[in-house]
Amino acid sequence: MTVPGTILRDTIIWRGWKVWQRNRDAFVRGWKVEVAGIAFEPFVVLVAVGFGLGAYVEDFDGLTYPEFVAPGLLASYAMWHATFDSTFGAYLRMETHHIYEAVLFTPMEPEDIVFGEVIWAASRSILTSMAVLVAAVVLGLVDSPLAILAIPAAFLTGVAFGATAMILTATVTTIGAINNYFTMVLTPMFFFSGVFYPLDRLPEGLQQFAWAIPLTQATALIRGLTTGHLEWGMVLWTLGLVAYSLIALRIATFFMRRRLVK
Amino acid sequence: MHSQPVITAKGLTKRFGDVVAVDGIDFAIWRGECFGMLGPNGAGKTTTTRMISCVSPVSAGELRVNGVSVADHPRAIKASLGVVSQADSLDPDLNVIQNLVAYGRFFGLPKRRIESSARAVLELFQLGGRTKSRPDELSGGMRRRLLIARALLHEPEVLVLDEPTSGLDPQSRHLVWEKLFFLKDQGITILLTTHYMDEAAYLCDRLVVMDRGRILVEGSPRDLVEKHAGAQVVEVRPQRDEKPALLELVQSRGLEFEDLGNTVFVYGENGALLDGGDAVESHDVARRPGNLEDVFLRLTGRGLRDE
Repeated sequence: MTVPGTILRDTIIWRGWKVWQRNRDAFVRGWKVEVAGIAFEPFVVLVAVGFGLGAYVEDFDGLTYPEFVAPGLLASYAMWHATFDSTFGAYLRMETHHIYEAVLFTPMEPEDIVFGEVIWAASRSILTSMAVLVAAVVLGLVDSPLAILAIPAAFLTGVAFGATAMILTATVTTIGAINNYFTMVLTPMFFFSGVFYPLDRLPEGLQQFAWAIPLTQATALIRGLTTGHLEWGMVLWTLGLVAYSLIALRIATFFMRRRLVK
Repeated sequence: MHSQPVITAKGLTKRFGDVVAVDGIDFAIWRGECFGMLGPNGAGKTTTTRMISCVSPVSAGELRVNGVSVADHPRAIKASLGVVSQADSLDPDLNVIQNLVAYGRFFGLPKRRIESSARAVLELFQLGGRTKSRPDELSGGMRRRLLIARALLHEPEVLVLDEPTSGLDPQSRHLVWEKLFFLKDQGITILLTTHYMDEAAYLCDRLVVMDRGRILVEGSPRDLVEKHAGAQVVEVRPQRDEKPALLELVQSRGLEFEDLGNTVFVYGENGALLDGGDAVESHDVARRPGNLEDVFLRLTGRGLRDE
């Protein structure tokens, strides 16, 4: 597979694509294990939380609880999978397998590696979002054909969280620090981002905090798409995720260069 | 005999904080030669190859590859080099052929060229039958050969090898040497770091001995041996209590020597200089030709460098 056209040749997109292809080849070799991990968990969680917990929860905003939770889980799994790959996966490739070192001895530079890794992480977000979306459609939780746009939205979510994770990967010296990111940053974010309940149930101050979290914006954006309840905020949230991604990419590149080229 | 240097360094310096790893060295590597860097650990060999490979910025001085400064066009320079570092950086998630394909893509090679080049380098390094193997299914020698094959995929002008045979068994080392010798015959320029003296003597046209970030001497292996070790070395292993008498004799005759503890190496054109000395008669004495190891030990001393 090659990038169509020659316009992109010798750009960061073209070079990052080479890293993406490397990761795809590795993924395809182990696809059975990978696919199970991507598809199984979201389905189980959707059924368990949506219907198990949902049986005790009233409808709100005209949505049943499973309808409300499905887009939140879609956004969350986009976050989890991109983060897993750009933290544990990338750290293993960099530190244990010396793959970045080998790549740097070619015409590739750290920014190409970061970009390719993040695009790959976001591609995994696409796969997992497709799994959640299929499950949601099968369970009758999707109300709008616009739901198909949840897949590119999941990609954007993956870029944002993949790039953030690469900042961590570029700066930590132990794998334990990555564990802390999961337990102290991502998990609290998971429960404060409107995945499981509407944010207006939170106290005023916490609400403002919650809206600054990228997962909140991703959840709200994807919920609008799967339910068909469109609002102008969705444009804002998209732009917010794009801005967040660009800044995180820039920072990750800075730290990755500092780590690899010395 | 040589037209132009491929790599030139002038006052090349690398500092890590307060530590000076490479301390203002000058050298030139000519097209088609095999240039060696010898030195104990911490001499600055690896750091120098990393600066040439554009993965470590130069702190001071000048470093050019094909006349281009490494600071200006790293991507172009890296495209002209094939680098084998000390780390085993084969991709464990990919099989042998996929390793080469991925690497070829990083060089921007088209698919068809990668496929034909991969076949050629795998044949050259006797790995043609292992295309579907995973790296962890290969022996240490095969992995090393694959690393070198991977570095040759894009037909680089210069092959940069950082201790290419360390940790290999004698058979594997000789196979690697044979292939490198073949490549040299094909006209590729080779930069080699090593602390195996036989390797340097066998492969290098010219070499430098480095220590503590500086170049101590430069020359062909033969010239260096002649100049710093002599044609013959006498190894004397004295009885414990007779060593002072031996050292006295050696010193009184004005001979060059190195006291290695249990053994004393006496250098010189003619080992017969020692004959007739009473102190020598009762010792274990061996005469042998001088070699690069003598040069190395004389120039860099015997202290360990790993602390």
